Amino acid sequence: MSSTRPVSSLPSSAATAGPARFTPGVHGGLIVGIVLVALVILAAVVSLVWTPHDPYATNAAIRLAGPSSSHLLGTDPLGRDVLSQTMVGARITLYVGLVSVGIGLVVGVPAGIWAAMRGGWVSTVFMTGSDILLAFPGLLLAIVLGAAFGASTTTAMVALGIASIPAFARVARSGALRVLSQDYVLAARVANRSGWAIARDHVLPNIAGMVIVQASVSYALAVLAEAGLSFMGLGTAPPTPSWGRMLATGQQFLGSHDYLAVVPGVAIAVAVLGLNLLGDGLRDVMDPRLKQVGDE
Amino acid sequence: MTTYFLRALGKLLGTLLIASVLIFLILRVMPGDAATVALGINATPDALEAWREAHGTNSPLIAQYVTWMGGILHLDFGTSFVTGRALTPLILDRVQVTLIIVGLGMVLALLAAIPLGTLAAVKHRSPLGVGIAGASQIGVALPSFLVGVLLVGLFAVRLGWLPSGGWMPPAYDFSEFLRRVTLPVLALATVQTAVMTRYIRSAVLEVMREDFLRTARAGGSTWNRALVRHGLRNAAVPIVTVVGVQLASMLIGAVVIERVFVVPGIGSMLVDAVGQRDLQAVQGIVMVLVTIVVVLNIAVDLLYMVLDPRIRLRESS
Amino acid sequence: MSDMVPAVDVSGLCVRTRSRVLVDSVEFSIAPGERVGLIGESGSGKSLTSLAIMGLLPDNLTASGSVSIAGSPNVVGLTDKEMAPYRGRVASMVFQEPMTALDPLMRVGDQLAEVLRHGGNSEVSSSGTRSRSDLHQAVVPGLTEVGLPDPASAARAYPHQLSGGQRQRVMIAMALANEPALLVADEPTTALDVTVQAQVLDLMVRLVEERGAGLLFITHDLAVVSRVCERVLVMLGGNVVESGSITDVFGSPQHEYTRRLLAASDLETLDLGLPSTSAMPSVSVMPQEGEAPPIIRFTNVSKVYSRGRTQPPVQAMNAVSLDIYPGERFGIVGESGSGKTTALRMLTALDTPTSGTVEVKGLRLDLATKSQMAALRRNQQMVFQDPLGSLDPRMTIGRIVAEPLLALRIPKAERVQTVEEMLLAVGLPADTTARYPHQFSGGQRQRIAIARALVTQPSIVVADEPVSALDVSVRAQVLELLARLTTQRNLTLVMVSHDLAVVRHLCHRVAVMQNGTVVEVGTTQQVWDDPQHSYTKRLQASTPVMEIATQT
Repeated sequence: MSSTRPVSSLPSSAATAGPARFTPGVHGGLIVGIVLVALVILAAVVSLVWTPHDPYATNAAIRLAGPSSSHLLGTDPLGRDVLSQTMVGARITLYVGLVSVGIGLVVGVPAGIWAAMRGGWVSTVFMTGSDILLAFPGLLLAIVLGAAFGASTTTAMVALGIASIPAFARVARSGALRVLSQDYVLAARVANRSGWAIARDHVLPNIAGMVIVQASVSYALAVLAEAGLSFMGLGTAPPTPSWGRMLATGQQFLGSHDYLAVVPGVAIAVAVLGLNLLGDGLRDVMDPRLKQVGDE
Repeated sequence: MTTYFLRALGKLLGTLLIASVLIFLILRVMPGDAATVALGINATPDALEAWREAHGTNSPLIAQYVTWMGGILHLDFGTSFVTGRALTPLILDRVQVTLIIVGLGMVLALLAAIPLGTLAAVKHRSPLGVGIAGASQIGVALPSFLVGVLLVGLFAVRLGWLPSGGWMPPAYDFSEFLRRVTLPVLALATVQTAVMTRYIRSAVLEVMREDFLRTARAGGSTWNRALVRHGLRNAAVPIVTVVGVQLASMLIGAVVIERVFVVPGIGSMLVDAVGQRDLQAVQGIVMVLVTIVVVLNIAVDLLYMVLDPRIRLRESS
Repeated sequence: MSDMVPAVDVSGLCVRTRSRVLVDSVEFSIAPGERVGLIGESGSGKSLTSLAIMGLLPDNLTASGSVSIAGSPNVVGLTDKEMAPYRGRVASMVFQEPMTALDPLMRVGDQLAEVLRHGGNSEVSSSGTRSRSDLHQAVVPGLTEVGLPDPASAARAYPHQLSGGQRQRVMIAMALANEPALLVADEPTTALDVTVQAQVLDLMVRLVEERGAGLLFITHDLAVVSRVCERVLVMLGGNVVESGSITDVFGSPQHEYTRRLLAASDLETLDLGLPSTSAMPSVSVMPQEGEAPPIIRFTNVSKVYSRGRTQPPVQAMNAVSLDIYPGERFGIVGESGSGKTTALRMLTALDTPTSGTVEVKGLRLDLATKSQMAALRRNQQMVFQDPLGSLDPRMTIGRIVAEPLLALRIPKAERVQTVEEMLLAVGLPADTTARYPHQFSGGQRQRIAIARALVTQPSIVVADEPVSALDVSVRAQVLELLARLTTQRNLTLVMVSHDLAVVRHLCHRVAVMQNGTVVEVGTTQQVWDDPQHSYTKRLQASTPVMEIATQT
């Protein structure tokens, strides 16, 4: 009667859940995404040191030559090598995405966390600002800024970056609000840790997954928008090769030289698909909820 | 409910006011002088001065803004700096074209995406569901202008069934309108179908995990019936938001599609105005587009409230 | 009785994933009018068993064996379509979470009418001409029967407009609408307050009895089972390890696991260092008032939360005054909305009172300087309800436990040593430090949380429902640990709980809160044995207690 036996003695390694929450290698979409993105990065990096031909060299003698052994993807109306242009175009694509996502990330995430932690008027001002920015979709902002400051790669990057700030800020804010409502943040406050320490040690690591997913989504949107701008002649200026402008050229030769439209089109699709799959895949492997098997 | 509506209206007006100031400032700090751009560098100083006087660009910025805003309140966007024509009828004419294409594109996309997305969720373990999910994943990665270019290549250039571009207002010749509107609408709808299929699939998947579906089944509903009666209704709430956001992004994205198909929409007008540095026109067009985007965002908020009693009743009490 | 067709007859029931067996050859039968409890801890397979009977298993699980409901042919393996006619009519179910179990977009009356329609009820059958108000008329009797105060307006309400208890009454009305032969209830009152739980349980027992239906009642709470059921099945790891009448199983348990479960649930047998509950009614080791000044003092503390322009403000605390003395274990008991959690937030300076003052060790919290606050926080630590939620999933245990030391700027070597000592003190191996929270069980996580709370050598520990998220067997251990450490380290413990039974066994004194006010303060023994306030009486009477004395 008096013996109060512990019901189960404590084994030293009674692991209840899986060994780790991050297990890549099982997610097919993620693998495909990584491969596609790696392909684009590889093309861009290799183009820095080597391309099959000089991407800027025009040659009237071989204009509009179809794919051949010397020009694997043919040549354009000025006789430039399409493969070399596509490789250099990958650089612009990656560059624009990198800078615009960087702007959104660096401005949006701290703003979102700050708004969540402060609440009150900070939060109100923040939400209002974000609503106003939302009224200017990236493409529109790029066109307006292009009208004011002249269309260029830089204008496009900055415009797309500014337009992506609300998305990052909202993700960071909602994530931070969720983290801040957790008991472990209360525990940190009871332990007398500063707001700065809580943001750094608790909030940031716990919303990193959501932010990374948003980054890949924004990256894909930036790639699409840059291609569209260049397609209309409002993005990267010639002669720098850009997939969007190559596609615009290709449209004029549809029917006779389809590869001129197909090659840059496929390149854009590969980059965007890769980024989307990467984002989805990361979200899946980072969401422990989706990993549970049919347990009680 | 009324207080909520009034608050939404206030938010709408406030946002538009600040947006108009931003648009105005961005465009007025533009390097270069509007008069020089309009008349060319060989214009005499007198002519330039006269032009400035006529277009009011020599008065203080605040006065210019007030004049512009005052005009907009009477639906008068002023006259083009380049052609000298009144902008309002032009803008209204062009925006109609864009709204037709975007609206039809979204309707078509929803007609396809609702069954496809639901199917993909319900059969998410079978090859059919996985196939739909995979196809929509690829579709999302295609820019609509690429799809447009490919459609032109196939239906206009190869098969010669449809014209490669151009426009006909439906009031003049409806069958010609249909022939010309088909490809641009298809181009927008293809990509939107993929986008909406993905959202609908995940919304339905989310709802399939809900306890209340189990309750309905415990009460005698079959799985399919519970899904139709309770699941789809609940899935619709988040989807409405997505439709609003997507409409806004399609409206802007139509800029490129109009270029592909040489459609005289608001987007191509904007691109032309930017090319000619027609400041007054750019200002007016951007203001119209921003207004539509903001109205869409707020309409979504209101619709959300109508659909979800939890929000509706909290706001009204 | 024996020749009657059983409400449900289960034999050889298995549930498995592709690779694992989760429920293994479960066998039982429930006669009409009989109430059978199915108990077990999380992961025991009790919920899966009930879902398998209803044909509601998630589609990655498969069931085999035989289930016959009210004399039906075997329903295991039926398709969803074939099974649907049984559900709601022959067998129905009440779920744990009344919040999520009802469609949030549909009026309650419509949801109930839908069930009636499945039962072939002519009044609501879809003739197409019926108006919404006619429909709601038809469901009023059902809602009246489950004791909803205003059935007609409840029928027009959306689920979120009802309280948790009301929603669960609606669920019961839906489950019993078509007079089923079997009612399956899966933890139906776990999410409810104690007094509401008692009402809902009574209602359910009465209605099932009136209808002569069989009841399968799934719970982790042995006291609830002893209150509701006549017979009980004990599940462990997918197997039924023991079954029999409540008197037999609880009185003379045969299986080792049942014995342990009973011992753990029966707090009477725990030695938590309190004066024995039977002897010495008033004189105790409890510090006497007047001996020392109170270490914690609430003076007329009120707290009003405003909820925006559209909603009326909430008075979470109303003129609360309390004195807590050094070395005392003090409980604050109340239901949701009583203000007990708000009191705790005031005490830990996570929130400030609207009026009144909180003093800790003579220091008024609202006047404390930054350095005084730092000293106070070193001295007063907290243990939270949900051990998983209170541990940052992305931090190692070492960092989590060290966190309070970080704020004190203690050198790293000393930190590491202190953390290891503390982990040993709460019964965890020192190699724990490199691992992450999800690698531990619930009880171990709460030990980690306790280690974190004690690592700065505080003199006050504040605990918010420290055992209510834990399985029964672990609960006893954690309570013992808390009791041992508070005694060893001469701590003042302030514990907030909804469970008067737990507080009674751990605390010297208790304050009972209701609607933001303290209705009664006294020694736990006096409050339990002789409650003065009517609310305390109701709370005491509603608190489920094991009604079968354990024989030894």
